[in-house]
Amino acid sequence: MAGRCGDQGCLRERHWVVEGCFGAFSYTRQVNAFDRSVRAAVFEHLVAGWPGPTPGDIAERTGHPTEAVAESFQRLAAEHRLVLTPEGDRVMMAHPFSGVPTDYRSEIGDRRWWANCGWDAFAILALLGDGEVRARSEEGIESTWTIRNGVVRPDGLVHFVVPARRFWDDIGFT
Amino acid sequence: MGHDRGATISVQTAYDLGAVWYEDRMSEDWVPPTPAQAEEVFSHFDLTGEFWRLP
Repeated sequence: MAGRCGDQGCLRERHWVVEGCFGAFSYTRQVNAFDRSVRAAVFEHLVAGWPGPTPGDIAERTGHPTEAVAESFQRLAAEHRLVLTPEGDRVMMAHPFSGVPTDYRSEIGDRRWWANCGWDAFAILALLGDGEVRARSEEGIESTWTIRNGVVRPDGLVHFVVPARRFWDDIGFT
Repeated sequence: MGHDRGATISVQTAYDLGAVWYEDRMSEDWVPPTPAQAEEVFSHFDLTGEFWRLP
């Protein structure tokens, strides 16, 4: 969420705050070459637009059989390389991108991407170029940050709730 | 949820950290960082202490 934080212990009132999460990674075993190519195609899809891809989307993009891509999705999810929707039918998270709508959006001109958290929204622009980050509070109030030449304005804070060592305990909450 | 207060960083640090953290994430050859490598990135941005420690 975004908004003025009521926690006087960690935030100053003048700051606007957005929630942060940890861009998913794990130190599990390596994935095979096929799965790596599927994962790269997932990012190509997410950079090109929204929503998160289904196995059919990646099959169409790569020429691989849909069933093989679906199996690859499952392996990649098991290895924490991406997160699938609860239904398992499409990619929900490929950090820093979100495949489903969230309160965090990155924009460059008329291009836009959903982010998993406030940090990811800034990270997407760090990867793709100058633009705007928009975050919406639970009350529906929208905050905007502008990035020009890598400089973020106005000032603000990103609040990380879950410690680094625990972020995969509940990646949706993180 | 039983979570502690957490930690905060400036939006500029979030942007700068994101540039490093996700630098090669979309690459087919991306390899996840080890805990030591991840903590090295954090410490580069003065993100130290128990909150930023990895197992």
